[in-house]
Amino acid sequence: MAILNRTLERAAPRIRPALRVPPVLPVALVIIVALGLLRIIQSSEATTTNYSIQDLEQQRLEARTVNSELEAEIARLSALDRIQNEAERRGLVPALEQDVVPVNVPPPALDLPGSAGPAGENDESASEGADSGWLDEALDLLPFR
Amino acid sequence: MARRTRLNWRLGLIIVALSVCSAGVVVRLVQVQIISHDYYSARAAEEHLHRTLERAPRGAILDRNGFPLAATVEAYDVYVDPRSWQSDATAFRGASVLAPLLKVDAEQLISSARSQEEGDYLAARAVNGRVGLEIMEQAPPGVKAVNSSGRIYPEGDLASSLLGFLGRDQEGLAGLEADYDRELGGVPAEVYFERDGLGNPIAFGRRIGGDPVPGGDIQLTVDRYLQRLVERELQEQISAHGCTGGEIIIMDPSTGEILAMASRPTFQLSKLNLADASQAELYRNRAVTDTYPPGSVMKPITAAAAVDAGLVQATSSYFDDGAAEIEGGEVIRNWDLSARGTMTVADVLKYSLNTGAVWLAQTLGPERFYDYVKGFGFGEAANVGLGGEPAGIVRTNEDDGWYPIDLATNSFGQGINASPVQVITAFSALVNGGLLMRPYMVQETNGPDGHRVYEPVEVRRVISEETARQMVEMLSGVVDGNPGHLAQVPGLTIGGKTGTTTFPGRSDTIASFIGFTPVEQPRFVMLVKLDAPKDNELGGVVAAPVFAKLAPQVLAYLQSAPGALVEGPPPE
Repeated sequence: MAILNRTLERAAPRIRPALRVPPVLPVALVIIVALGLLRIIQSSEATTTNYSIQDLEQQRLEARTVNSELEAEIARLSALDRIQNEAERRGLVPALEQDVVPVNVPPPALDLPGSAGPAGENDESASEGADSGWLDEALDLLPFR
Repeated sequence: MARRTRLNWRLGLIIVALSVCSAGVVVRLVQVQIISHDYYSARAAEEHLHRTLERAPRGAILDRNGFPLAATVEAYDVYVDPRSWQSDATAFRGASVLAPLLKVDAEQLISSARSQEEGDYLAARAVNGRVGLEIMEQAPPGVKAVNSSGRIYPEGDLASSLLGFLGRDQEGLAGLEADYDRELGGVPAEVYFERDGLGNPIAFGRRIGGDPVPGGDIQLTVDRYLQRLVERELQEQISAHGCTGGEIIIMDPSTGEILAMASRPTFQLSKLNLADASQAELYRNRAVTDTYPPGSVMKPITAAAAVDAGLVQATSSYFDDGAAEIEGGEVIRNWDLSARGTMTVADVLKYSLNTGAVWLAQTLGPERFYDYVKGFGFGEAANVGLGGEPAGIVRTNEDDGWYPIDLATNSFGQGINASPVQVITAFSALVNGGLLMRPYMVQETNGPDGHRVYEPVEVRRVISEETARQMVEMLSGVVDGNPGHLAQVPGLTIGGKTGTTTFPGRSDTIASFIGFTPVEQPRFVMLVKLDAPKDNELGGVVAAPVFAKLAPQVLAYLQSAPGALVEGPPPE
């Protein structure tokens, strides 16, 4: 009986203690997954930004090209040949004659607008003018004038 | 028990295999990572890092008012990958898009691209921006448009010899483009950057190298309107007189600024062909690089020297018997073989008497004469700021092979060589109060070295103000005091001097005239030089009328005060 009991004891399954997972492992797992996800997101963001930058570079190139074309157009439109052609198209012609006006002679006597002033003053200036007229004529006779 | 043994054998085999593989991997890793580290590191860098030379945008060449004479625009070089076009379908698809844009035949384009053995085929160089953008938008297969730049000349062929041109690598080869290449071209940058599988830069990747320093604009003293005016007139006169070439220069005598400079023969920017060796002769700017004997234009210099030395005055006289005897027995005669009797210094210039010039030079003596000649800048480069400037040839009494006849011939501009720029610079000193100004044609640069403004430089005083005043008076007498002189213009006061250069044993001459206006306060000096005129050899007949034709237009343009129309103080 004792032998039987010993056999039965041996046959009975030994109860093992439950597997104990250290609490750090799930945390580490979560961190690893999170880091992986972060890396993927970062990489994705970098790729997206890369495309955005390339797109902006392309836009900048296009804008620069258009700007350059416009500057060239301004230069072409400002060219002397084009201006001359445009003037001729509008019927303008170069001046054919050039008159020389000598300006080292006394100006002609001006008929000042006497009617603008009061009548009395006008009469006075007129009489002064008459006086200076004969005086000037007399002075003109002098050889040194 | 047997089963357990068999399992162990299999397991052992796997373990051994894995161990061998792992060992192989480890050995290979050691070889790659440690033993051959440098080699593979370099290979990796070569694969990932792309080297490129980023060219700096080239600056513009502007006239004195800021109008561009040469400018840079965005352009595109169009390449075709011949491997992509080996397939007929791809090639036709690509060519059908590209050919109309480049205005070439599609089949010819395919044939040319396929014949390229190595690298990409350059289908077109520097196509304009619109076409480049269109190509990028339509993206035909196997085609890429690479950003580059092109040079445009809004005024066409104006000032070709002055501006010069660029090579295919966008570096200046001639003219201002070459002389101011550093200022215009900027500094390119060598850049290394990480690239992806398609060759595009990786954002946030490694980038080694700085940014290119853009080229700056240069602003000339040359006025495009005056330049166009003189170039057209020069071409017309060369055709009319059957000349082989010529120059016209306009200078502000008070500052030394060159307002216009035309030179013929020259090349046309619109028809530039660097492969044509025969065009090489046309590339130089003859107004700066070539020398000639100035002829009678030299007589005012001789007269100014004698007056400034206090040896003669405008009214001092000598007896012109038509021949001047030189030590050694040679005889110098007047150009028209005349003998005019008693003549003053003013008459020497008025009638352009060789005998009078010889008299003045002999009165000065060789030492003083050559001191003055060198003082006026003959025999030294004018330092106008352009390449290829010669010093000219002045043989003095201190040089070997000099004879007294040289003093005599030099006095009226024979046997002495100077560039047109030197001649106009020296003449300007006669009418600006006696100061030799350094000629210049670039007034402002914005290069990598910063912003520079060039201001008038007074080289030296060569004659006194009083002498200069007397010279202006005498030169005025040459034109305005000489009835029928072909340089006269009604309503303008003009001074100047004709020149006719002769060559021993040759029938051709150089006809020239140098003049200024208004006499009261010279606004500009203009040199007209025509080489080998066929119909008449005299400067007074061929070149003087050109001055008379241009002077009123130039003066009107410069909006000069019409002092020439007023004699004496204005009426009160």
